[in-house]
Amino acid sequence: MEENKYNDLDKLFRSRLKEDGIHPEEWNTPSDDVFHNALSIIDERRRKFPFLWILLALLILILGGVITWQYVTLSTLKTEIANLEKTQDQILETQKERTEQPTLGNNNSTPKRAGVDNIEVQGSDPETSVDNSTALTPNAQAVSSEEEEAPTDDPDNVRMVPFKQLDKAEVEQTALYRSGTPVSSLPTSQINEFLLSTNVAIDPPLIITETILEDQHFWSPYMLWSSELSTFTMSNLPDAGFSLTDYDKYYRGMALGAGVKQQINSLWSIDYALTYHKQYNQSHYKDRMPYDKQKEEKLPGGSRSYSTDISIVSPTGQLRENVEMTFQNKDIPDQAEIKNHTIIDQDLSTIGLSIVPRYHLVRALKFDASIGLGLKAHYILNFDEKMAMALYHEGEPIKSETFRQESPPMLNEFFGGLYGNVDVRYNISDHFSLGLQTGYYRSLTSLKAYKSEDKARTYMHTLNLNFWVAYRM
Amino acid sequence: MLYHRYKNLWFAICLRYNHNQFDAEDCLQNALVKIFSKLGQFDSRKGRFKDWANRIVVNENLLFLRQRTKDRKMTEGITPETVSQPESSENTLSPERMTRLIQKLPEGYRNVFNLYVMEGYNHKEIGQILDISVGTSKSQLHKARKMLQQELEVLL
Repeated sequence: MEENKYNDLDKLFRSRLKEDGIHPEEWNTPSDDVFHNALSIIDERRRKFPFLWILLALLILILGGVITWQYVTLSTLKTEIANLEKTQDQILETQKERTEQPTLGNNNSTPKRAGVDNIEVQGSDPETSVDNSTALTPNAQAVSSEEEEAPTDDPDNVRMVPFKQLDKAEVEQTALYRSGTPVSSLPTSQINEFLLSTNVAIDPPLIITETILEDQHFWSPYMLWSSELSTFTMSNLPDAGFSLTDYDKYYRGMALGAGVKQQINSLWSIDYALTYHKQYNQSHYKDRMPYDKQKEEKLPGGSRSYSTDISIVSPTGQLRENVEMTFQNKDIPDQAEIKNHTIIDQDLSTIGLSIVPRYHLVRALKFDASIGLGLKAHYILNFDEKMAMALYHEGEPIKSETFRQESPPMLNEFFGGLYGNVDVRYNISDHFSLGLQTGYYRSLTSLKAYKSEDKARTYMHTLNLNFWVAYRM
Repeated sequence: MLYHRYKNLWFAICLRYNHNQFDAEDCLQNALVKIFSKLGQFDSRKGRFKDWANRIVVNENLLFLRQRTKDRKMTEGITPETVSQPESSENTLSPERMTRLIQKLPEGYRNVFNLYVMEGYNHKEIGQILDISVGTSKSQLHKARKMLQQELEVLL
């Protein structure tokens, strides 16, 4: 009723005051100051940016340098790895032959596990002890035949016992503690792992975005095929030493993501995302650590046993493997080093949630640059890891046995932490965008450990650089 | 140039939401900053530029009014200054005259009238935008229309 009553009134106002009724007249012409003031406000905002642009450029330059450096060193590493894999096959073959000829076995034959670990006891010159895995291939069979013929009391012969077999309780403890050792036995309750990694990811054109009001909803199923490599890791674990190289051979899998970009105002937005990741990875680590004479135990007959923990970095934290070696009348120099080359096959699936508030430095039709700082958390649905190590002495395999050990089954739990990035994207057309993202991720590898005072906390610090291509529907 | 093409239209919107020219200019300035900063977000496939920009101007006005209401609560007791505009003797139903009629309305009535009649929002949406109940929105619209009707009758 009332609507009808006032219909004419409404129509009158609409017709007079809508666009058609508005003509430039004195009463509706704002002063020129309005426009100039608005421009000066916008200019002032833009003037803040050069610093950030310089910072971004520096960051990209540094990361670009790191990538170049990584790729330069990568070729050598690849050769080493290829040789190591060949050696692994040869050793496995030798092992098989020996199993078929039990009379030729020795006293140290133990339950065999497949794998390749490369632990090397070296002389005092660390420079000469760096790259010996290339020498493995020609020596592997020679050493195995030498072993078959050599008497066990050969003074130059070094023997190793397999990795310590953990029972179920120990396995769970290892998984829970992440370092395999209660924190009370470590000089520090906080472990920091520094990783430098780069990723190159190409997202196929499957990203769907929808804008409702000013918020952007996105659904982005995509396949990951990225290469990650890191040539430097460092940890404050007491006897973990430091890694010479940490190279992820491949990094592939798939991910499904959905989320919303909530626009707060022209400068701020918040990205919420829920993701599912499944990925396979093969990592190669090369570590070295001093040979600690205090860890030697003298055995009857002049031989000695040496036991040490090898630290392994995995996506869910730090694992430590206890390795025992028996030396028979072998004189180890005072400043000897142990070198370790590990191959880890990982199969990891997680669901993750991230909340990243984002400040937009520039937001234009073609170009968008923003800084985000927020939180990420992942719940581990499944994690399986297989490790492979081998032992070498002065560049030669000292044992023709190989080991393969499945990692302890991980307990389902959360990992996550603080995540920050600088994101730059350029829309090359209505549908295609190119992006570059540099990020820093400080993740706590076990939230359970964080809550418990008697468990080691492991933080991983990761710097990364991602390139991506996206398609908008 | 974009500004010169739309400035009168945008300013007319600002005048409808504000009592006086100074507040309207402040609103327009804020709206311009937002429009030019957000130009990159405008997607021509989703609608006309004019509608997109007008919406920003209306939102800026509402933001401004909300802020002013807050400030007024903080300095309670001080009556908001209203500038009486000189009545034009020209065309009695000119856009200018009609804008001034709207300006004369109390703030609550004016906002509801602008949003309902001029922008086309329904009472539920107005309730959410202005943080008032649907009943209040209806009642304020009724009173606004009644006042405007009386003013028009006097003019005519």
